[in-house]
Amino acid sequence: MLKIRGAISKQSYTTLSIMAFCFVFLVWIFLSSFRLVNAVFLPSPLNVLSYFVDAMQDGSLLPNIMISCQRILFGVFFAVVVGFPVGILCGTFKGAEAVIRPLCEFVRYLPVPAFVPLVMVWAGIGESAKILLLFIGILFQLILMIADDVTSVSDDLLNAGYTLGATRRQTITKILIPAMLPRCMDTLRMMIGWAWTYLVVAEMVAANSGLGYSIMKAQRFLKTDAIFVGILVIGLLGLFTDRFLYFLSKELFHWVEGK
Amino acid sequence: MVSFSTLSNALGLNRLAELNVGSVEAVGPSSVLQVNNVEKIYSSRRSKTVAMQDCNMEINKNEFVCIIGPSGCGKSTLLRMLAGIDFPTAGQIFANGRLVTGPGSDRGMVFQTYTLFPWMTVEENIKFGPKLLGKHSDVQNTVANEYLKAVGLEKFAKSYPKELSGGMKQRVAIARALANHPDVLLMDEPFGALDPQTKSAMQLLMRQIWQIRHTTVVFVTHDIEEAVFLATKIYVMKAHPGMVKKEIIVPLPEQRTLDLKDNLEFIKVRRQINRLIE
Repeated sequence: MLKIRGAISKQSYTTLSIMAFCFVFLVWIFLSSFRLVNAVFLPSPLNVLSYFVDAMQDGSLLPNIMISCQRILFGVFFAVVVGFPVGILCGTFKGAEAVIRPLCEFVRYLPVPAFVPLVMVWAGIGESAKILLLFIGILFQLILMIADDVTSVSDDLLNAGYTLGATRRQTITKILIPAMLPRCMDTLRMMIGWAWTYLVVAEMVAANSGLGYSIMKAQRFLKTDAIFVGILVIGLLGLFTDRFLYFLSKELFHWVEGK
Repeated sequence: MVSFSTLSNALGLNRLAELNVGSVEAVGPSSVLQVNNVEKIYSSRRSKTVAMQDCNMEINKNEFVCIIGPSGCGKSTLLRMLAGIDFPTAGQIFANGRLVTGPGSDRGMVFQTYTLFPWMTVEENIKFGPKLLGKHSDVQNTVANEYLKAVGLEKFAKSYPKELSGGMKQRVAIARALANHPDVLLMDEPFGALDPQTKSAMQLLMRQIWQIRHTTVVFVTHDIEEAVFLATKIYVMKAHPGMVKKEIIVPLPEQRTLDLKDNLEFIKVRRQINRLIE
């Protein structure tokens, strides 16, 4: 088990992963049940659970979850629609890269929260503002990462296409894009993780709905159990999305070598 | 260890012999590829490296030409220039009398690295060339079946590249290149990454394919034995700068089996090349 890069069975991998979750959970139970930490700072798991159940029943949690998911969906969708083709251009043609890359490198170093006031001026505080912020936050990173996915397709794969008679257009549509798709899926998974971060930032600053807003509101009333519920729900949603995309990718790209 | 007859059975060579559809008509030497005074200079701000100078070659129809030389002699670069995916800094390359300005389906290529399209099945890989050229789907199927048979991989038509061994991948790559009916097949150390047994079997397969179809082949290798076994003509190159040192017409019979490697004449040619390269 301690062999460098040694393989372990799938079963023991799963067991270890579950044990890690259990350990954190046990520490939490231990700390709260013996009142080692003030309940205002660390609510007991039972309190968090009961708050979760209450919030689900009185219908205050679900709409917040739905609206947050909807914002993520739209933000990521628009970023992919724009970023995917632009990223492919940037990774394929040096001229396009010269135009696109330095701009993106510049913008991606600007911290997203700094855009919040600007986005409010531009788009107000409605839905479009949150989606715009997500869009700005993801787009420039996405373009650069898609461009890298394109350049990591081996030259000889393209050369093989050329010597089989592929035109430039065919090389892009029939070789380059299919070859890069599995990597794009990994990029997308990473982007969705970042999208949650930006969303919560947006919802904390200027919103009256969403999980970020519910966390912010709970803080005002020192309702730590509500904060915990908000955080845990975001974590679980992220985990489910990621696992879903992982299995989807395994199913769609079963042909990838070394998997 | 598996004997070569078993291996050749496994490779479908016996069926290959049955496929023989009469001999190819005798054509007088006509050049398919011509390399005229090719020079390749890599220049950076500080230095200029002359990688190749005054390189001349003539590859005729139905020849099996091997290019051999020490590393750094530019043999792979030369092959890429023949394919049109790299370019000389001076001199010209002609394919069928036309100046090479880029890659084309008239010059098929098999690479040292595995370049099958991993998202396509073996069959789809082989059909890819004919499909690009807009061939009818019936034609695509016929061609795919013919070349699957030629490389003995009918059973793997629906497999994906990740399910194949290295030797099988290269067999598909050869089939894929041949399925386009190129005027010349360019091969860049295609068996370099294979184990010795598979390599021998692949050499035999390649030679048998050539004996039946007489496809013009340019084959780059650094393995002298491989070159002598396969070739009808060998260009021995020297390095720094790369140029042709000697052209050797291989004085061996047309029908070859792996036993030939123990033949006295074979060993003589091998020694001659060895001395040239040392």
